[in-house]
Amino acid sequence: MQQTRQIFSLLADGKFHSGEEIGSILGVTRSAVWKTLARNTQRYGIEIESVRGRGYRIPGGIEFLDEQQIKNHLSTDVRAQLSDIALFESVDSTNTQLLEQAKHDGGQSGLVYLAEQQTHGRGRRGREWFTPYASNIALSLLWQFANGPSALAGLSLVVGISVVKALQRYGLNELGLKWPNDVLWHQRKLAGILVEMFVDGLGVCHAVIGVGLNLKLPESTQTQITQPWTDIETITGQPVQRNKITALILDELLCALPRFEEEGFSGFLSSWQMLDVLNGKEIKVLTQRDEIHGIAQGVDELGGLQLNVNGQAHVFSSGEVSVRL
Amino acid sequence: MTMDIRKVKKLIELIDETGVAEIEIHEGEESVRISRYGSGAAAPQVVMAAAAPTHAPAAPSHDAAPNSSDKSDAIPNGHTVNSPMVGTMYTSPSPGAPVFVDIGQHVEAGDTLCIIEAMKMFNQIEADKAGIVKARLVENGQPVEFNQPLFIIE
Repeated sequence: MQQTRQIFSLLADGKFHSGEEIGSILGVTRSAVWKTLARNTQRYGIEIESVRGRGYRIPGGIEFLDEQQIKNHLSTDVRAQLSDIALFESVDSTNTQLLEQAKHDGGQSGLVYLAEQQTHGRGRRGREWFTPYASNIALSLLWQFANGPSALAGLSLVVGISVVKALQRYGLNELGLKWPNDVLWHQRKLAGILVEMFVDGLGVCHAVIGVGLNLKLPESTQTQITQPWTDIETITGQPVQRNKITALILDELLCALPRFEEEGFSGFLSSWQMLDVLNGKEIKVLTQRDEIHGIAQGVDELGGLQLNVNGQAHVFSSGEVSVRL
Repeated sequence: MTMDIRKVKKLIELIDETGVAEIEIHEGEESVRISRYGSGAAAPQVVMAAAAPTHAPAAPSHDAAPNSSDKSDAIPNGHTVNSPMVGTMYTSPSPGAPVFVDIGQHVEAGDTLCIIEAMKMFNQIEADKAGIVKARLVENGQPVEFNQPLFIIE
């Protein structure tokens, strides 16, 4: 991987580089460069153009994740909340790794895991989440809560609000949230959030907050996704500044989490109401055993979904929601 | 929930013996309703509810049928592992995957027993002591209340 990554990094500027040039920088032959690329481009799903007489290039270039660049984009007061950033080239899932780390070797609030590629990215209940190499954002953040998990009601909604705020700062508009935390742009899913947690023997709740954000999904992946989706490059028509957007998400999360610890979800209720795409709509809530139809009435002070079913009020804390068309 | 599991079991026995369709008992702020209706199976259903602001875990009614395999056996005494939050209980990491623990299995403190989900937050419930898993008191996919007993470890 080391050598492959070195070549990718050289080609990251989007310009042509000859096999000789790459080979001399890496100290290998021209044919070794060719072999490495032939073997790995498909594996990492990276498009590399090869033109006789000019060399290789990655059309449009790539912005690799860079710890220093991310830190530079963070606001000063938030930097103190960040414990450390670990960057993986390829990993099964940043959430899985961070959860293991927290369980076995500890880890402090504000520890961040990022990956260029996830081979087993997960969504809700074992669903697959695609993170092709150097294309998207796979971010996991560890946060420890002194109170038990019941004090964390609404946390996953707060994470959704934070991601939307970050994307708004990046310049995106017309974003919304579908309970509990699907980030949508024009009814298409842009980001997924998965919070996993455990309580240790001292009663401290370790929450791993996972955010998967679609920046640029290759065509090969597109056919495998089963729900309406979009990515930021499609929305903006520009190459995505991956480090900036990562930093903005961390910035919002690291600012929101201490506030959530103090105020609970009620402090975020008005932000939620501004972004709630379900409010007033006829929806269907699918639980493990029932399918309930009603009219969405926003959320309560714990983040539960309020549903009017034939004039009766119900509150849900889990279930799959879909809008009835 | 302060209403203890033995009382619930007594009520189930009572309903079995008498053939009464449904009993509801209130104790302070809590109530328990046991009904033959709903599940379709012969096992009576237990419905527990905190009287305070209703926060339905997943469905308008909060059902928690005891593990059907123990319906005729006594619920074993032992250490209970309770749910730390309102949510939905899952016995395996994903649908189709093997369960975290089987009844009769030995577990160490720290082993994951199940997951409770609420609003896409997945809480791994760990054994807080080592022992044999004597009973699972909630079915996969069922809603659970705060402090509801999930497992008995002995």
